[in-house]
Amino acid sequence: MSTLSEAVGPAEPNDTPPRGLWRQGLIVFCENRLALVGLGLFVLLAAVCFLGPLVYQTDQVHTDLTAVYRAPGEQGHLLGTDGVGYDQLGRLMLGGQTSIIVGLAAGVLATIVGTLLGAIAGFFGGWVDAAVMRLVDAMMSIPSLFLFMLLAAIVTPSAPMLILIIGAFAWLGPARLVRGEALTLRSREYVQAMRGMGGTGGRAVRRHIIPNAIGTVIVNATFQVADAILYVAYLSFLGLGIPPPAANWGGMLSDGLADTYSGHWWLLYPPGIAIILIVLAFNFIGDGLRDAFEVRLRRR
Amino acid sequence: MTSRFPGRALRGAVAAAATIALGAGLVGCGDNSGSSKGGGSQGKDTVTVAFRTPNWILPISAPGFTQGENAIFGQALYRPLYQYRLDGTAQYNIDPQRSLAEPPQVSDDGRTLTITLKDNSWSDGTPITTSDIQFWYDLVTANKDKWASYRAGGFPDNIDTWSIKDEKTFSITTTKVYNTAWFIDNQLNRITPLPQHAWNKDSATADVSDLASSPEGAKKVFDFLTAAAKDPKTYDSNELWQVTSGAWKLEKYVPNGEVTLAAQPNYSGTDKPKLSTVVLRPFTSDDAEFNVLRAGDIDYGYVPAANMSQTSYLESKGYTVSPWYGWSITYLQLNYNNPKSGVLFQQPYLRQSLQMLIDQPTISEVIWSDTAAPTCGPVPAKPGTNTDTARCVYSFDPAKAKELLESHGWKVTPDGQTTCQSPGTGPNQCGEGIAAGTPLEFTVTSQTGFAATTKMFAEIKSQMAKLGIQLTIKEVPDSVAVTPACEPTEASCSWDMSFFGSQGSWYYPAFASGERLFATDAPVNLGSYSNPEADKLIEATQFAGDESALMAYNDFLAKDLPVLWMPNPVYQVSAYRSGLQGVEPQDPMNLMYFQDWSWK
Amino acid sequence: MARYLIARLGQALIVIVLVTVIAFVILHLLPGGAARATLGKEATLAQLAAFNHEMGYDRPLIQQYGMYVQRLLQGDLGYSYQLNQSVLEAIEQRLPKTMLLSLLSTLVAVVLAIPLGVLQAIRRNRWPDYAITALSLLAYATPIFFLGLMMIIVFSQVWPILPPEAPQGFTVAELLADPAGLVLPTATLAIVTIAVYARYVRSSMIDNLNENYVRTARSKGLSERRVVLRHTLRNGLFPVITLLGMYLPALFSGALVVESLFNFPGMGQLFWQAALKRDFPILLGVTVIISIATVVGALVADLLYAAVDPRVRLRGSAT
Repeated sequence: MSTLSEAVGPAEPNDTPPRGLWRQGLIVFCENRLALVGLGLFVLLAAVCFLGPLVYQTDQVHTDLTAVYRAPGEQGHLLGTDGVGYDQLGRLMLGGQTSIIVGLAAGVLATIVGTLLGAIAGFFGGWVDAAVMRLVDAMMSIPSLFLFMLLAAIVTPSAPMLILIIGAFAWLGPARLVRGEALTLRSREYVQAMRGMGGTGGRAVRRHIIPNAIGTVIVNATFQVADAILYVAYLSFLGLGIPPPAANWGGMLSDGLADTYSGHWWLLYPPGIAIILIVLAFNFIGDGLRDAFEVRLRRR
Repeated sequence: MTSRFPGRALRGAVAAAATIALGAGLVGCGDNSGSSKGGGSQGKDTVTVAFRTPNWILPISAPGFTQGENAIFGQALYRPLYQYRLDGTAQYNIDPQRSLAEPPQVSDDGRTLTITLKDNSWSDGTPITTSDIQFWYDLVTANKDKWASYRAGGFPDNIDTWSIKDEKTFSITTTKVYNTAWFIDNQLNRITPLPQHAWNKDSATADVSDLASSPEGAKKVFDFLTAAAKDPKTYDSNELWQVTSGAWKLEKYVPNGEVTLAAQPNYSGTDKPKLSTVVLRPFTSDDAEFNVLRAGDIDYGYVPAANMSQTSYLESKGYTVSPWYGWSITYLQLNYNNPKSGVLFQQPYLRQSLQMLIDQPTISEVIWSDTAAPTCGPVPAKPGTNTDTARCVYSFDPAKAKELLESHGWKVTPDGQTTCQSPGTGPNQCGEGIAAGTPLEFTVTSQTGFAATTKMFAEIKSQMAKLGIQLTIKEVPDSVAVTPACEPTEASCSWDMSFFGSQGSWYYPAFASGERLFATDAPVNLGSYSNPEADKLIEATQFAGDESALMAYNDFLAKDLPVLWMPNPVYQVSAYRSGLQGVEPQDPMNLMYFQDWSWK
Repeated sequence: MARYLIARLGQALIVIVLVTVIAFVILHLLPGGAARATLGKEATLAQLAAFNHEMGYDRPLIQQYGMYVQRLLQGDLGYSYQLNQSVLEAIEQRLPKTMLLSLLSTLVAVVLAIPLGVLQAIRRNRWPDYAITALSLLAYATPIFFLGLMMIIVFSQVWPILPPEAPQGFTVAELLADPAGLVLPTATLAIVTIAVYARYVRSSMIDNLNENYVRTARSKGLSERRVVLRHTLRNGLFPVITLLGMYLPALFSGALVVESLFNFPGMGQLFWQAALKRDFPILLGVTVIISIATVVGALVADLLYAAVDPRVRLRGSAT
């Protein structure tokens, strides 16, 4: 397990308000073929998961022990059934909804918390900065999976709980990045000037630091989403995932591990591929976004 | 700007790193022996067994060290006074070959048992005598609170007189007249003679004396032995553990790692080891174990329930796959003291309808791949007999369950929320303490890490939902730790149902009486079930002299449902090389006798 | 420099204290007592009470913390009742395994990631860049337990050339004596790590290729090859040092999964088992040791970095 989001160096901030650059960024993003592939993948997967059940209706509430381990195609089950008789394709759709929602929500939550704390720390400096950053350092030096494991043991894992748990600990990366941004920004002339004119600190954070750091933040958030989906998978592997009948791709994959040698390939590979695709999609998108925000690099 | 950092150093470091990495890779590729590494020892006189590392050597069990691996390890080194077999051939289930003593002679009034030791000796040649038994007795009586098997009022509190007649004979007089079979199977099973001539001292350098004969001395000796047992890295070197009575001696011990047992050349028993070495290998997970088993690197392992479909593959690779049935029952604990749901569980009709929604035969067959069998009551079926589901009082019958609820004033809403419609204590009302509108919703605290358990509760949840009974499944690593026996006022009493039976909820000693499970305030009565009638019947099993008391007790509880009966999984599905003989029969009380094993 | 060093050391100390506090608080939020988890369902109330007393769990939390810190300062990490082993012994036993696994996989990953990242930076937005990006992100997106299982299936079941488990010894010498066993676990952990390092090398190289000194070098007519290898690579790799220090905890998380899959009882496994059984002394001990390692690692990396690159020293003092 790794945190790719950490590896993304902060993009240098733009001094000018980034109006005209949005369009330029969009062009750069579109030029990046992998990014487009990523976006396409995400839209496709989301459509299948959220709209698919309207077309392909299955009972994901009641088990049916008379119809377990049906092979794909048998009796209308396109991807077969699992060990308690749930239709596997329908379950993949249901699980995908959870995975995507948990990933997005946890990623966004982590980013919001991290951005706020990072901006505050960076802008105010002094003991506020010291306090926040030492907390970040301390939590970062404990492996995140360890923290998630302990927390998942304290609360009953459910989708909202997992969002909170992952969100509560994944904010460290964004906090650090945004703080770095804020630190450089606060020495810039326009912020200094604003303070000189009696502007409040909060206003400076809101009006200048956050908007300027937004590129870094959005890029990072994309990677956070991907990481959150992986974290749910790891927790499921460790037995701390969401209990049935709820489903998520990570949980389905780790359940499928037990069926590795059983010949029931449809229980292992489809969730495995689905999870790889969605994580890949978010990473491609994030990569493209970063290029787009670093557009100034190509402007020289 | 150029760096002052000398480029050569960096290049050098990278090159070195590359060399190491490549080196590791190359050596790895060069060694094609691959999967034949280590384990496969067929044809030699050694055997490799998948086995959790035991971590307690002293044959007086300490709280928290009573796991199966410690029991097996313990009796491989130190023979208990009596060993048992449940095949029905032996008096009081006593194994005549393995036991250190003849079956007890019972006095006419039933209170005095006289026991005569057979001729046996310690590994250093010293005979095993009653002074070794006395030594054990002195240690446990003086240190009851540190002994895992001690229960107030049980052994040794229920001993009136303990007397040594001579070197080979001693007698026990009990305070009451007990059912002899119960006393022999569930009380005398604790006795293990200890090498008095080597251990009766309070430091490694002290001389052996009769220190333990006084309670203070016994405490000192006990502390000394316990301290030694708490230092596992010295298990294979400490002189204390060199004097043994079992068929095996400890050759090599790595804490949390491999343990090697070697045949004891001076073993005095009749069941001499046939192999020279047994290697016990721990695994970090079921997946890891199965991958290694499948690659043929161990001689004896287990098949995780989810991989039962691999049976034929393993058989084609020369393994015999054999389920290991336990002398056990499995159940779903109900918390009668829960301030909210306790009143519901008090209602027999409700327990009955819940039980009727658990399709034990189908779950056993489909989810457990036939490696589980229905539990019908507190007394397990005799090993070897097929569990006859007709024996179960309440079979799977959703229609009847629904009828039962409706006839007691519940408004059943399929796939919704069933609620109490007519409160009150009348015959067709919900019952005492149940208000109008009370929903039927419960949380099950179950175990993580068992795929079949997860599936089983998905099925049960689905069946209950069909009658509007909402189950929430909460999986935790250790369900026992979060579902303690409790008073209604305690915060820890918020649990409704608890499951800890993925490998069987409860393993009995040879005599399957329920004094520890279902008696009021019994130690493992986590749900605080209490029924005076049950208490009376349980007491009868301990004091009445015949099997009919056990039958009466079983029939009553099978019907009264102190818990919900669940499919009882096998202890494990063993897989061993077909050339390995003597593994069968696998002991239902979960012991392993490596000395019986041999290669064909 | 001395002032920077002292400030940095002070920070490190605060971080370690904070870690112990965080770990202590989280552990004591765990539901269900350690006693019941340790002694099992058969334990009597008296036995439970005796256990709690022996382990000090019957004291107020703040007092427990005080005692823990006091013993920690004397190098005593406590005793694990469940393992029947002192925490220090348990960690000493497992640490070489995890260290070796982490070291080998980092080495393999870095050695492969550097040329890949450099290649990507030079061929930015051309097909080698895309191909490497796609492949490394694919590796990164694969849950490590799935990847490990696929490795086992392919290389030890379908095409049995490598053993499905890591070497079983506990010392480095014993482990290295069975290099075949190390291949699959090392490769599994390395593959997911490559992506991270390659991305980092790539961005760092791109940044450096645009720096003034590089342009100067180019304008002096130096060959592109010489520019990249002699000037940019060195500076481009410095940030990787920082990443190495920072990446340690993530590596442990990955090791946890790999250890479980390849029957390699190291630190991650130790922690996981302890979490399942509420083995507080082990949980605390492992957390403290790993965080000290991380903090020290980060400190060393920072100091190295500062010693090597004067620009950082200036930036560092602004922290």
